[in-house]
Formats: sequence, structure tokens, C-alpha cells
Amino acid sequence: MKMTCLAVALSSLFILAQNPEEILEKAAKAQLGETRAEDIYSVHTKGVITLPGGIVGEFESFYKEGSKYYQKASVPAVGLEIIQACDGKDCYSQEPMLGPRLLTGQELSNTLLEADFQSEINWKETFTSYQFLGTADIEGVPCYKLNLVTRTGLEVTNYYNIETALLKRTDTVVVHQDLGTISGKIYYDHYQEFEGIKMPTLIVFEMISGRMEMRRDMYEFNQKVDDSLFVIPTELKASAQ
Amino acid sequence: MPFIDLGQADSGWPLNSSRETILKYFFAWLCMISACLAQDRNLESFDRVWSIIEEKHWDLEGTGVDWQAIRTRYRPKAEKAANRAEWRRVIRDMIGELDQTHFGLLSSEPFQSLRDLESKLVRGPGITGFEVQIVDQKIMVVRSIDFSVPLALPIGTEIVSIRDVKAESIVASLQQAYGQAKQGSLYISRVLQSFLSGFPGDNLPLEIKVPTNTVAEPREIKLHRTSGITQQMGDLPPMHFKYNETVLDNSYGLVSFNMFLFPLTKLFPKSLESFENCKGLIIDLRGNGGGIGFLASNLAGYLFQTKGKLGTMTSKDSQINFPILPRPKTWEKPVAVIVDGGSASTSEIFAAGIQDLKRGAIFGTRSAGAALPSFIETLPNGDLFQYAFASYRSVNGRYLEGNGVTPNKETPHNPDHLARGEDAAIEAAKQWIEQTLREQKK
Repeated sequence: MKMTCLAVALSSLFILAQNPEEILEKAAKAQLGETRAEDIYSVHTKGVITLPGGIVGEFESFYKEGSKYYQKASVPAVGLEIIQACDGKDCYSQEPMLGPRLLTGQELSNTLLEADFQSEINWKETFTSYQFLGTADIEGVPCYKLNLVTRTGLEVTNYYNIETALLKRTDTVVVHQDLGTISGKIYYDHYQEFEGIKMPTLIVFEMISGRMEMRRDMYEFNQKVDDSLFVIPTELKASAQ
Repeated sequence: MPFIDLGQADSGWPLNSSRETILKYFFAWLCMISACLAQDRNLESFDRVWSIIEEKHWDLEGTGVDWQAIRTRYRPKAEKAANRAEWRRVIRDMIGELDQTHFGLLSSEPFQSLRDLESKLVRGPGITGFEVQIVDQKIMVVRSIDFSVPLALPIGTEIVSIRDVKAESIVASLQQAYGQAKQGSLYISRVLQSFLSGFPGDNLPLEIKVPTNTVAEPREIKLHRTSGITQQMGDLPPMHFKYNETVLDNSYGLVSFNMFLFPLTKLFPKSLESFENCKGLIIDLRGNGGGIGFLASNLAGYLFQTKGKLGTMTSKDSQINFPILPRPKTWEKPVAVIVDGGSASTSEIFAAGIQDLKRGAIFGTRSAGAALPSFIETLPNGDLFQYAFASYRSVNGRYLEGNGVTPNKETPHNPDHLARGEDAAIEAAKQWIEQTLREQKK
């Protein structure tokens, strides 16, 4: 009994002593494996999205070095199509709710950061502050809990699987200039190895009372992606001017 | 969209107490047990109501009420409640401490007569193409809801019976069941409309009085498939999106649609283009129970010239705006919006924003006051607890939940207008457009 207490106390001390930089570094290494970050210059992924009520759609995303990004999601059952893209400097969104628009302010800087597919790997450049908050149980998985602030000012709480070092969940509160303050949880699950890199194949978004699942069946790295895909439509640029 | 679970009603005792004495004792013994069980269920139900508010309320601290203290104060009262009526008073008093309209307790008993009624009335996907409403305690045909089929009965026709069920008993059952609900008018209009359905191709037997006749006559109405766009959204039942567009008196563009679904994003701007020569726009949202919330923002984007918002939804951890982002080409002429007790959710978010920002005027009758998805949960004791998990405030700070949108000019259906085949709200909207244009010219 005494030994057990001692073990618990020691492990608590060990947990308390965790260094956030170390956790982030381990997470990056666990994801990359033997691959060097600088050797990846594009990512292509696609899969299926499931919205509340079992409504199913599909999506496809392209990321290219220099924060170039294009994502298209479509839900044919309801006639919904959403496009979001960045050319490395500007980003736009095209969806039926708010119509086609150029992103500005915090929304632009956060989207550009998301467009950088290496932001989690290059954590030193992404986060300006990191704090170890202890441990937490996320869906039965013991995790390290870190409070992080991105270089764009976005505060997130990340949970890293203690055993695998991989990211398990992110909690964020996004302040959107038009939509307001939206808090959400993003779960990363079912990591699989694609070309030596571990990527989550199930991503679950929980917001307000809704839940959206994103299943990524395929990841391809370093495929040639034409820059024309990321071009901002001229009419949007013109209307912004 | 409000969710109603009426599945677990209290059942009556099946025992006949006029039998042998031994059975009477048995019955009395059972009653004692049942009283104990009922008390347990009441306490369990109290705990459930308290917990739902604790878990779901978006800003419990902001109410200034110490919810833990409330539990300490009211739980012993619920425990001591001698009967269901007393228990309900305790619950209502407890909810009343919040001084909000988002929560309500519904008794289980009134739903029994509605369930009896539902067993006599066939319901299905076939529709008549017209809308009925309760006007002066009578069921009356008030308007066409499908412009693609001829109106089977003239506006102002009184429905005396449906499938041999007298209209009075239908009206009484509906009012008894939903009269106490916060969004009672919404439930009443939906359930009433559903009683005029069946299978496409079948005939619906009615007894009617047309406006020109005081004598009731039997009439069979052919039911047809709903027109419009059918969308199967995942596990949800198929939804039939109906969009009607017409020009009234060569001067007023009228659009009506039964739900806010994505096809609207293409149809609405096309209608605005086709109304280019009209004096004003009338958006008829009566019976529109809502749909995809952000489509209110989509529509607003075509009607406003400056950026803004319709209102804000607040849940426990988020504050979400319904923004207005003007489109490159917008409608600048007068806009009249018509709502009624069947207009809920997105319809109310849209109408309240139009009203607050003075972009147009609202006609018809007060909307449902169901701006947010609310749930009705059956409690362990059989009563029903209605609650919302978020709050919505229009841009001017009005709470819509439980309150609805009150029209600038109340124009309910009335027998005189209906007898002339007129729609009081449409007539008022047309007059207002004329008046607005005159004032703009001055």
C-alpha cells in the first residue's frame, strides 16, 4: 500500500515536472517519424464528412508550402458547397450563408496559420507561449494538457496522448469578426501511417450542441500541386478594393 | 426544430375495483405502492429538471440566482408534495425563480385526448395544398400553400369535420394539450395541418361549409404529393422544400417558402431579379418552422446595404452572431414580412432583425417564440419538461425565446376577410408598401 502511494506521488511529481517544450517536440517527432519536416512541400487529403443528423458529404484539401491552401467540401444531399482557399497572403471563403468574401483581420491570420500544414511540427514558430497544465483523461486516454498561444494570438488548450505523444484534442475559443465567439473541441483519432508520417484519420468537431465528423481516407505527400488552385478570384479582390 | 417526445404517458390502472373484496384490498395495496412509487418518480423528476437547467443553461450565474440554494430550498417541498398538482406548483415556482421564458412544464394528462384523436386520423405524405387555421374557434381554410395546384376549397371555407371527427373536438383537444406550452400556437398549427394529410391519391373525407353557404356538406378532397424539392438529410425524415413566387397586382413581389434550406440561396436572388419592376417585396413566412439558421443571414445579405447583424445566440460557451454581409447587388425597395404562430426559429431570427433594423415591417400574428432548438423531455413521472439550451437576442436586445416577434401591425385571419377570399396580412403589407413609397417621395 505504501509502495503504491509512493509510486503515485512520484508519478505525480514526474507529471508536474513535465516540460511543455519537450511535449511539443515529442509530438512533432511522433508524427513525423524518420521524415524531416523540410522535406514535405505539399499535402493532399480527402475523405468524408458527417454532419449532425447523419448528413454525409465529401471534402478534398490541398496544402502547399508557403501557406497555400485549398479546401472544398460538398454535401450534395442539401446542395451545399463550401470553398476556402489561401494564396499564401490572402484567403477567401465561398459558402451560401455569408456568400463569397475575402477574409480579413484575425480570421485571415488564423486561416493563414491553419493553411501552414507544418504549423504543429514547427511549434517554436507557431506558439509564442506554452504552459503545462497537468494531466487529463480524454475519452479514457491519459493526456498531457498544455495551454498554448499562437503567434496570431489564438489561445488553445491541447491534449497530448501520454503514451503515443500524439495530439488527442484541441479546445479553442475563436473570436470571429462577423460570427462572434465560438468555442469548440476538436478530437484527433485513429492515427495511421501514410508514407512514414502518422496522421489522424478521424477528426471530430464538437461545437455548441452539434458534432461533425471528418474521416480522412487518404493522405498524399509531395504531389505536384498547381498554384492556380490557390488563386483568389479576381472579382473578390476587386470588390475588396 | 422543436422535438416532442410524447412516448411515455402515465397509463391508467387496468384494475376494475368493483370485483371481489380481495381484489379491492389488492387494489388499495397497489395504490399505496403506487403512491410511494409516484413520490419517488416525482423526486427523480425534480432532480432531472434541476439538473437539466444546471447543465444546459447558457448563463446561470447571470440570472443572479444561486441554483444550488434553489435545490436545497425546493427539493424538500417536492418530496413533501402530496399529489401531482402540488409537485407541479413546486417545479413551476422553482423555474419561476429564473424569470425566463425558456423553460416550461407540461402536464401529461391533456395529451391523452390528443393521442386518442390521433388514432382516428390517418396522417401521411399526401397534402391538400391549402392551409387551415383556427379562426374564432373554427377550423378554416386560410390560404394556398402550394401554388402549383388549384385551390381545392375557397379561402374562408369552414371545416366542420375531418374523417368524421368533429372540428370542435379537434380544436378542444389541441388547445387542451398545447394551450399551456410556451410555443403552443406553433404546435397547434403543425398538428392541425397534419390532420389534413393522408396518402397521395386518396380522398380525404371532410364536412365543410363554403363561405356562401351556411349548411354543412360532405366533400372529398384529393390528396396529392407535395411539390417542390425533396431533400433527404441523413437520418432525418425526407423534407419537402416548397418555394412559391408570384407577383400580386402587377406590383408586389411575393415569395413564400416552408423552410430555410439551401435551395433558397439560389431561388431567392432569382426572385429578386424577376421582381425588378415591382414596388415592394413581401416575404411570407407563415408556417415556416425554420431550418438552417445561417440562411437568415443569407437572405439579409440581399436586403441590407450596410454590414451588421440580425442578432446573437448565446449558449453556455459560445456567442454566435447572425451576420449581415451585403451582397454586391441588393434589394433597396420596401420589404414586408408576414409571420404567424407557425413561424419559428430561423423565420423569427430573420423577422426580428428586419424589424429591429427598420429595414421593413412585420405583419400577421405573433410568431412562435421558438427561436432556438428546444427539447421536450418526458420526466420519470410522465410530465413533460420543455427547455432551450441557448438564448437568442435580436440586434436590439430582445429575447425571442418564448416571446416571439410581435408584428408592427397585427393582422390575424378574420372571418370577414376570409369570406371575401382575402388575406388580411397580405392586404396590410400591400398598403404599407404604398404608404412607404409615398413617404419616401415626400
